Amino acid sequence: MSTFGRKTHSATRGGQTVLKALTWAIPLLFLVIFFYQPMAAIIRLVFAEQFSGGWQLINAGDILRPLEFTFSQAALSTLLTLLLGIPAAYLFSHYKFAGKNLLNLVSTLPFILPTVVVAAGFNALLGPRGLLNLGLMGLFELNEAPIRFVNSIGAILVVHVFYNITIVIRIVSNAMASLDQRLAQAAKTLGATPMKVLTEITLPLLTPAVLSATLLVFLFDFTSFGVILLMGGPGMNTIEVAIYKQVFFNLNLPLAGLLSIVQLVITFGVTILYNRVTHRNPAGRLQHIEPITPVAPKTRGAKAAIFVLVVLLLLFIVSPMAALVGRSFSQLEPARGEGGDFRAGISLAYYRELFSNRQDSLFYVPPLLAIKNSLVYALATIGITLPLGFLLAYALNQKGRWGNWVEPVIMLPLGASAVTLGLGLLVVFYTQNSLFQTLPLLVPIAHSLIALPFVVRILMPALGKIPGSLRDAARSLGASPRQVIREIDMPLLFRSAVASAIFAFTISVGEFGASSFIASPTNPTIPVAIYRYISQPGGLNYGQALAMSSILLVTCLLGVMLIEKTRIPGEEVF
Amino acid sequence: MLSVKDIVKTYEDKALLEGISFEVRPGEIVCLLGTSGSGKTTLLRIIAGIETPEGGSILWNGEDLSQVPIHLRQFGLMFQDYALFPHRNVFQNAAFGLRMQKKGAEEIKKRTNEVLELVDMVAFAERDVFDLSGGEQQRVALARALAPKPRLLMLDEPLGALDRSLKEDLIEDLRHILHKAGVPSIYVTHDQEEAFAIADRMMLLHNGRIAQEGTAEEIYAHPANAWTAEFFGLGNLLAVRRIDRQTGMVETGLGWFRPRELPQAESGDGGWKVLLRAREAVVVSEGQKTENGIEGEVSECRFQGSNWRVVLRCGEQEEIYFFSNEALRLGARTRVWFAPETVSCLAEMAEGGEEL
Repeated sequence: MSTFGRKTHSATRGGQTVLKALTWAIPLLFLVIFFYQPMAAIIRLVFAEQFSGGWQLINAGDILRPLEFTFSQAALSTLLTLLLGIPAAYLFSHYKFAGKNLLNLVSTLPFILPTVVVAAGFNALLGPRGLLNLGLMGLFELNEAPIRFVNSIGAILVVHVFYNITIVIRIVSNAMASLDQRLAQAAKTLGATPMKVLTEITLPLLTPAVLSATLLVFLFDFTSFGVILLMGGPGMNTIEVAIYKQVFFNLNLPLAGLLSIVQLVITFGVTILYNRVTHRNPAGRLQHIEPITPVAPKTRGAKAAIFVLVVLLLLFIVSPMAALVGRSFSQLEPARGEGGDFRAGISLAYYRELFSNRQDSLFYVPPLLAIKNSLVYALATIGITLPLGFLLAYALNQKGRWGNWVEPVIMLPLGASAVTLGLGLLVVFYTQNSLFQTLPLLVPIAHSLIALPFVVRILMPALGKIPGSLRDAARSLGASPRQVIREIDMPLLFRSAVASAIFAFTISVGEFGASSFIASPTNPTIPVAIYRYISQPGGLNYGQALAMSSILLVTCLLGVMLIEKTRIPGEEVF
Repeated sequence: MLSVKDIVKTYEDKALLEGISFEVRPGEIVCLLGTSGSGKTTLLRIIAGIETPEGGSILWNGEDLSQVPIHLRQFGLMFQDYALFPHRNVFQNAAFGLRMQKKGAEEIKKRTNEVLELVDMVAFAERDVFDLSGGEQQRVALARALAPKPRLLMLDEPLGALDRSLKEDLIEDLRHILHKAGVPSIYVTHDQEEAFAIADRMMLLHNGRIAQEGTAEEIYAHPANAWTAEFFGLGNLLAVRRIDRQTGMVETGLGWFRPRELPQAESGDGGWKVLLRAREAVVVSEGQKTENGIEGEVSECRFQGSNWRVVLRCGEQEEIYFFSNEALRLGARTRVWFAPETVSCLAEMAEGGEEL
C-alpha cells in the first residue's frame, strides 16, 4: 500500500514557498533600490556633511521659517476646508436635490487634476493675464490688473480648499449617512433631549470621520508643492518648495536633505496617526445599519442653503477649468515681440504654437517633445506598476506570518512626498558616470513609486474578492494551474487592471514634484514644460502654458470617466 | 472504484481525520453524514486533491493518486456555495470542463445541451448566473460537474443553502439525475433526512473516524454505538451501572432492564448505555409488565403531525421521552414498557478504528 509520503509534499510545498517568496521579493527589491536607497542617501548626505563642516552653511532659520510657514498655511487651509466642507457634507447626506449626481461627478475632478492644471486654471481666471483681469482692464481702461490674486497667501488657500473640499464632503457625508438612525431613536426612548442626542451620540460617532478627514487634508496641504510654487508669492516657502529652491537655486544639497528629513518625519507621523484613526472607528464595526434616507428639503432655509451649495460648488470647481479652456482659445493681448498689432478674439494661435519651432527663445522647450515624453513615461509607468501591483496584491492577500510585517514596508512610500522622492533619486542616480544619468527611465520609476500604493489598493480587494472555491471548481473541472489564471483570475481582474492602468497613466501624466527634480532639462514632461512657460514673461508663453494645460485637463477628464466606468460600484480608491 | 485508505489530517494542530478508510463502488451513491466540523468537507477536498493529507492514500482502481494533481483526477466536485463562475453565463459554466478537455466546438455544444437537458435548464442557457434562483444555480452547478463525465462525483452539502420545501423537491430530482448519469457519487451532508432520501449506503463521520457504515435500515436497526443512536435520535440513552450476567440484565438509574443481548464479557462493564427506543414504547396499565417497565408522570405532551411526543418524569431528575399514538393527559401516572428485543446495550463511543 502506498501512502502520501511527507517528502513529496514538502517538496511541492517548497516550490510554492519559493514562488511566494518571489512575489514578495521582486517588489521589495524595487522599493529597496528606488525608495529606501534614496532615502538612505539623503540621510547619509546630511550626516556626512556634519563632520566636514557642511552644517556651517545651515542656520536654524533656514529650517524653522519654512517649517513655520508650512504649518500655518496647512493649518489655515485645513480649517477653511473643514468650515466649508462639513456643512456641505450635512446637506449632501440629509437631502436629495437636483444636481446632486452632477455635483458628485464634478467633485471627483480635483482628485485627479494635476497641480499645474489647477494652477493654470486659476491663473486663467484670476491671474494678471486672466479673463477677469483683462476684462476689467478693458472695461475700465485700466493699465494694471485690478485683481491681485496670484502670488498671495489667499491664492494658496483657495487652491488648497479647491483640492480638498471634496475629500471632506465625501468622508464626512459618508459617515453622516451611515449613522444608524436607531441609535438616536434608542437614546430618545431612554430620555435624551435632542441636544443630548447630538452631544452623546451623533458627535462622538462622527468624530473619527472628521478627524481622519482633517488629518488627510492636513497631510495634503502640508506636502503641497506645485500649488505653492505656482500660486504663492516670493518668500512663501513650504518645506517642499524650500527643498526645491535649495537644490536648484542655492545648490545647498545638505540643507535640502535636512529639510527632507524633517518633512519625512512629520509626514510619517501624520500618516501613522491617520491610519490609527481610520482603523479605530467604532461606527465601522456595527453590523446592521439603518442608514439615513435623504429627503427633499422642505423649509425655505434648507432650500436656500442647498441652492447656494450647488451653485457655489459648481462655480468653484468648474469655473477655473472653463476659464482655462476658454482662455487657451482666445487671444486677448499681443504676443511677445509683436507690438500692439493684433486682433482680439477666438484663435487657435496658442495651439498652433505648440507645433511651431521657435529656436530664438532662451529657455526653449519644444512642446511636442514634452507631450511625447509624457506619453512614453506614462506608458512605462503602467508597464512598471501593473506587474508590481499584481505581485504585491497576490503577496498581501496571502496572510502569511511575515506578510503583516512586510506590509508597512511596502505602503510606507505613500507617506513620502514626491519632492523628497525626487531629491533622493537625484542624489543616488545623478552622480557622474551613473548609468541613469542618461537613461530617462528614472522618471517613470518615480511615477511608479507614487502610483503603486493606489494601484495596490485597487487590485488587492479585487483579488481578495475572488472566492477560492472558484479556482478549486475550475481545477476539479480539469483546468491546469495556468488555465485557472487565464480562465478565472484574469477575466475577473480585467476591470480592476484597466482602472489601475488608467490611474497610473493619469498620475504619471500630471506628476510635477518628483519630475521637476529628475526630468532632464532637455527632456521635460508636460507639467514641467507648463511650469516653465508660465514662469516666463510674454503672452505667447502664457498662451502655450494654457493650451498644454487644457490638453492635460482633457486627458485627465477622459481618465476619470474611464475609471468611473470600470470601477466596481461602492469602492473608493482614497 | 475509489478506495480511501487510512487518511489522516490535522487542522491547526488538532486531529481532524484519524484514519478514514472506505470504498465507493461503481454506480453507488455513498453518503458521508456528520455534524459540522466533523471533517466531511476536508475529506472531500482531500479526495479531490485540493488538500493533501498527512497520511493515507487515495486509490482509483488500485492506482495511487497522491502525485496526480486536481485537474487530472477527473473527479467532479460540486461546491456548497456552487462556485459558479460569475463572468460566464449558464451555458459557458456548464461547458467549462469540456473546454478544458479541449473538445471540439460541436461536441462541447452537444454535451453541454445534454447535461442542461438533464437538469432541465436548457431554457436558461444564455442567462447570467446572477439571475438564477438558488435552486437553479444548484442545477447549473450539477450540470457543470457532470458535463466532462467525471469518473466520480462529489457533492458538498449541495442542498445546504436552500429552504426546506425546495430541498424536498430537489432531492428527488437529484437522486434521479445521479442514477441516470450512473456516476459513483459521494454525497456530504449533515441532514439525515437528505441522507436517507439519496444514499445507497451511509457513513457516519464522528471524531475523525467513521462511527458506522451501512444502509439506513441497518443503522436504524443496529446502531453501532451510543453516539450513532443519539445522532439519529433513536431514543433514550441510560448509563449502565452494573451488568448481571446471571440474569442477563443491566442496572441503570431507572432500574434494571433486560436488553436483546449483553455485551461481550471481555469488554468489561464500564462505558455502556442502554437504548430505550422512543418509537417502541408501549403504554400499559399500572402493575403490568414489571420487567422493562418504567412509571412516571406525564410532564409534556406535544402533537407533532403523525403522533405525540410525550415526556415522562420518572424521579427527581430523570425523565424519558417516547412517541404515542394518542394524547396523554398532563400529570397522569403512566407506565410504559419496552420489549426486550427492542432494547440495546451500546458502547458509549466508537473505540479506536472501529471496523464493521
